[in-house]
Amino acid sequence: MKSGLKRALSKTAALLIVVFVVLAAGAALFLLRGGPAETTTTSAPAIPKKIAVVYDIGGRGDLSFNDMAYLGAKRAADEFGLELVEVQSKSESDYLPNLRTLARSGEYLLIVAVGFLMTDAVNQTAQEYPDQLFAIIDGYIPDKPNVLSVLFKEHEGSALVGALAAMVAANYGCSAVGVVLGMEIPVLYKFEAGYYWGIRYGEQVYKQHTGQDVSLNVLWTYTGAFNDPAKGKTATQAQLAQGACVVYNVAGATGLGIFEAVEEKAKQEGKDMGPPFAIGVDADQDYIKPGFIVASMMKRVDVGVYTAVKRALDYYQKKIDKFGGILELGLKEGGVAISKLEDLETFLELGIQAGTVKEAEKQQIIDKVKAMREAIPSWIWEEVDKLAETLKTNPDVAVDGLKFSDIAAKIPLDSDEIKQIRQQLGVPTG
Amino acid sequence: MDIGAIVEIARQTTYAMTPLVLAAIGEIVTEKAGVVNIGLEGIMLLSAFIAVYVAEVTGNPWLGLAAGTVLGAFIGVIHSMISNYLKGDQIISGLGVNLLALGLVPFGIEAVWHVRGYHTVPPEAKVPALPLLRISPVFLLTVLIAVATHYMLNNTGYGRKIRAVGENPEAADVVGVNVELVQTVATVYGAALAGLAGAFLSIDWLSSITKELSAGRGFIALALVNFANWNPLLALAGGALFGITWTAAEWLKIIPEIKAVVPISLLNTLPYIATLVVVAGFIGVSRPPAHIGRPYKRE
Repeated sequence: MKSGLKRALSKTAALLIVVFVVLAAGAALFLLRGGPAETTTTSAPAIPKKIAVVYDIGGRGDLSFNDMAYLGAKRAADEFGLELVEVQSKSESDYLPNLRTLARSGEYLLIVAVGFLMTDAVNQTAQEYPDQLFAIIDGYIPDKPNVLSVLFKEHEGSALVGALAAMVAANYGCSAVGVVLGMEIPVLYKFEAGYYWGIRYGEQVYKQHTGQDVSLNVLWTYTGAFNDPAKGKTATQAQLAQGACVVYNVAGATGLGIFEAVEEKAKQEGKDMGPPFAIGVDADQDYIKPGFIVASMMKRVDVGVYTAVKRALDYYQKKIDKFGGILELGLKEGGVAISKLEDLETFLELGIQAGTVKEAEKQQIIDKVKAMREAIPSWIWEEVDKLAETLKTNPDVAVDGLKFSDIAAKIPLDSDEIKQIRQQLGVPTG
Repeated sequence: MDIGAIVEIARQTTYAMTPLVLAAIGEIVTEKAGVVNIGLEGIMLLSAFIAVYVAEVTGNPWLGLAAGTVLGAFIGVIHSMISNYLKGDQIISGLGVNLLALGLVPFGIEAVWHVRGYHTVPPEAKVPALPLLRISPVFLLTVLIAVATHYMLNNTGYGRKIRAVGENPEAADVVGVNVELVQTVATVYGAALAGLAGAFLSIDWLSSITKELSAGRGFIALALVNFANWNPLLALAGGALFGITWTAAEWLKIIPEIKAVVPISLLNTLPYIATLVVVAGFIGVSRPPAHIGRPYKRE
């Protein structure tokens, strides 16, 4: 038995050696002859013609992160004449093999990983394939020359919705505004800080316009969960009962409960639109409960992906000599924004394509959202746009003695810093 | 806090406790017959999904609740086949249901609504709350079920059969009780109530389905069974205690004075702590049915 196995093995080994020798000889011959003619004529390496987008488990059809990533990649591919390859991850264990397979082929100009969950996998693959360019959306990999970390200045977008929340609340004579958050992780402090600053700014502007002093209570709740809409609903109901009439969703799927609570309260009062209102997050969520979501703080993942592709091209064309690092996208770069009616149409179109939204519903939703927006004085919307412009050009604008740029400078915030910011802005601290 | 707030907390508590109590009472009956079903979480999630689907397609929330209950019962039949007739491992079977739900529900959401992660239903597909009190009719049904189940277990012939089968199946068998059949009835009853709990969650308390909608409530219900010492009325009380502290925690979190001194993580664990303290203080040692979790094999 044993000797038989040995003999078989040595036979295989011999066969392998023969194959190797033949291959090596062929390769040597090939090299000596100088390879195919066409490679000798072009000196610069050809720019790969493909880009790949790797979605996380959520995947296409989420009407959020992944769909926006697709929009950005599609735009870049069309504009720069590239081929777009999409790869779906079925579970977290797919990240690494997916990235590796793409990187190994060497055919891709850029591999975009969508979502911070893929951070570790990108880190590892980037190490294994140092010549392959990667971009990670929402992940933080600062020290790899071949990885671009695309981050968003959520504090800027949150400041806009904070100002909107304060002015809308004051307009309807409410005593408070709120925010319902998921688990207490430092990433969310950015949202908090920007939102609170925006609220105080909104109060100031409201006074300038109407001469009325407003001082809103700010209610904030960490539900401790991103996956429990029922908890989001209960937390929001508590805030509504304490006088809040605008509640910002920073809670993932838990946020669906925020929308429910707001709609239920309005309907109970016999209204078919807010107040009370919710504010959406990440994507344009205004369509989920039309008439009850006053606006959304959008992270423009599409802009992030597009920018990353452009940068990869520039790098290959030697227009820039460093690809990797941190790319932070804020209002100025179009990386964060407050949702507009046009955004709603884009998202509804995505929904129709996927089959989620029926064509017939589209106009109904748009009409409802439009009516809701028009019920709010137009100067409030103009002031929000004005704040967006101000933050782009003059981030030193201050409320309650706190410059917006001071908050930006402290990011990433830790728990002591957010406590300090809450205190400065008159928000009960934890 | 004013009286209005207290009334509102009480109202919300009726919502928070309903799915826990329903699932726990069902599991009490199942376990009294000697069968363990740890698949409550999975049943809730699957039933929440089917309830949303049926309610939306038919535009009738009552049919949605019924569909959730029937699906629960159906899963109960499968669990019975594996546990009671094939004498398989009950834990593995329950675990299988949980894993199945975690895979099937996200897939189902995508297959049916072409969206990943969540779907919300139109208002007409949501169970209407009772006027004035603004509580769910399912809550009243839950209280009724708790009382009826307690009576059934302790005061009826069939209740005695269930308890006998869970304590000493050999003895029950000798006196002519069809052990497997009684166990199956108890298992199906328990799973059906878990199904109703899931449907309540998705089309009554909320009006949406997400891939993790049950968010651990099936496991809390399992714990509640132990806390309640396999007594349906105590499960109702325990569920109320858990529900009220769970709800009140969200109200306490936004009171500045409380915020200043109590860490949020402590408030999040408040319902668990309160339940533990009460159990330790009043109920003491709980005693499970003697033949629980082991398949009955004739010798």
